[in-house]
Amino acid sequence: MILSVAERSYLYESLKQSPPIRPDGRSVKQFRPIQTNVGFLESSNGSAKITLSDGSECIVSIKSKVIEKASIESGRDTLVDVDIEVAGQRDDSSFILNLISTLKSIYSNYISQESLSLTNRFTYKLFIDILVISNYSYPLTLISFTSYLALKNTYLPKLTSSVDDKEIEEQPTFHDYEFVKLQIQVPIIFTVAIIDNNYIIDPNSQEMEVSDNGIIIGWYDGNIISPIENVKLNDGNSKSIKPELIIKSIELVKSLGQSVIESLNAAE
Amino acid sequence: MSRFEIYSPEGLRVDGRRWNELRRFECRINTHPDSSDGSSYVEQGNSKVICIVNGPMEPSSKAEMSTSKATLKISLNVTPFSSIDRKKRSKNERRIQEIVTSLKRTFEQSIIVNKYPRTTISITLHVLALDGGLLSSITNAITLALIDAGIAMYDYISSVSAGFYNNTPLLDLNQLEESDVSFLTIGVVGKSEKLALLLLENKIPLDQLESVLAIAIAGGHRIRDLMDKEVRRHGDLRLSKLANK
Repeated sequence: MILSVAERSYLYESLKQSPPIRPDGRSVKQFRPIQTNVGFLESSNGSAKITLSDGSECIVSIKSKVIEKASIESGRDTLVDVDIEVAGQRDDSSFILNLISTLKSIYSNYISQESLSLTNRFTYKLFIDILVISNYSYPLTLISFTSYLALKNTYLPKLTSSVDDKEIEEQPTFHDYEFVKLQIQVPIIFTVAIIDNNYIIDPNSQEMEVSDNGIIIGWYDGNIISPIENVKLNDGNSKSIKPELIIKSIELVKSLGQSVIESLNAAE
Repeated sequence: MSRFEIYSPEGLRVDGRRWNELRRFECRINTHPDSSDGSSYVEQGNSKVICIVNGPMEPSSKAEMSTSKATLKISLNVTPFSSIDRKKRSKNERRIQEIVTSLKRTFEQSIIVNKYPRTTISITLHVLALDGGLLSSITNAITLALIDAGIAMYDYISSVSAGFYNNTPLLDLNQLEESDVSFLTIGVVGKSEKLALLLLENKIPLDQLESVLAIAIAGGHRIRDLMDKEVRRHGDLRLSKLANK
């Protein structure tokens, strides 16, 4: 987004106030309204779509595959695979690769092996495919919310053969039409923009453009988790962050996390 | 030989249709009003396509600019989750590139390009689910999105595939049929019998080609009507909103 000098200074000054005056009138801890859709792709095990009020849209599909546990232990395969496609971005750009590596590490650390385990020898592998159709602000929060909804609404085929296949070599067999809902806890990621001594959650494109810096903060099951790192929200005017603002931002996310999860769960 | 009975002696196909029946066709226009100039969503059977049109706008580089007409930029994204088995496809894959080229040629003829000199029209396609008829569902989605964007066209381009199996022409093939039947995809110009697009990748006996084309054109006209209905429905909606103001 291109802002004139006057617009930029007006936005910056109003966001610097205490409390900050945001261009869309939100409070510090208020998100933009979202619109959700789940389970619209029949060929995927789980799917979700979130549309933001500014037209940003993200679609996530969860597909599964049965793999041998031995291949994960030997490092040939991973339990979770993440792929991101952002319209208008090359898929080998550093922006995309950064997003992929952040999400891959967070999901493979916090999606438990037991929740995907099938038998003693086999397990499900999840493919999380993310498609961002349009985005105007930093897409990580949008992506993580959509993936949360998709993973929470994933249905995997029901196993009918025995769980213990250590003694007798047998391939897992599945029920013809019954599915079991995947029961997992999913981490989410928040974006906080820093403007002078203020910190605001879920910055929109204007706020991002004038912000001094940005922090992404992970949240899982009531606790703050890594990644806690700063991100570039605009090209150019980035300044350093005061340490106490990092602590304050973390406190803000801590106080918000549970209510965000509750409203996402209500969307199912 | 396929495991499936493509066309039973009783005259039924794998999904229970008769030879001249289309799959369920549903479309919506103006699905992404905030993020694009024109957008559409098309479901043809189990195939689902989103099309986003931006433009006519200033080209990002002068090299792409033409002083006499608009340049078309088409990007086709077949998502890895679109097929039953997950498969990652690169945008530079030959098959994808071929489809993009034929679409470009089709729409450069169908859009009144000389009305928009020195501009680019960017068309982005996302295939969310694929069950045969890739080219036809994409073509229909582009037509609708261009109409939504208000870009001048000569007429609708409605597209449908048709195949030839065991001396019977079959209309609008799904994935299973496509893998066993030789087929062609056409794009019909409006209510005429003119074709803006014809793609035949396998063999169809020359003396049978006419019957296959005839049924495909009839199917194309039907799809044109369905698209026209949606465009008019949306037009009425816009008009009623204007009238209420």
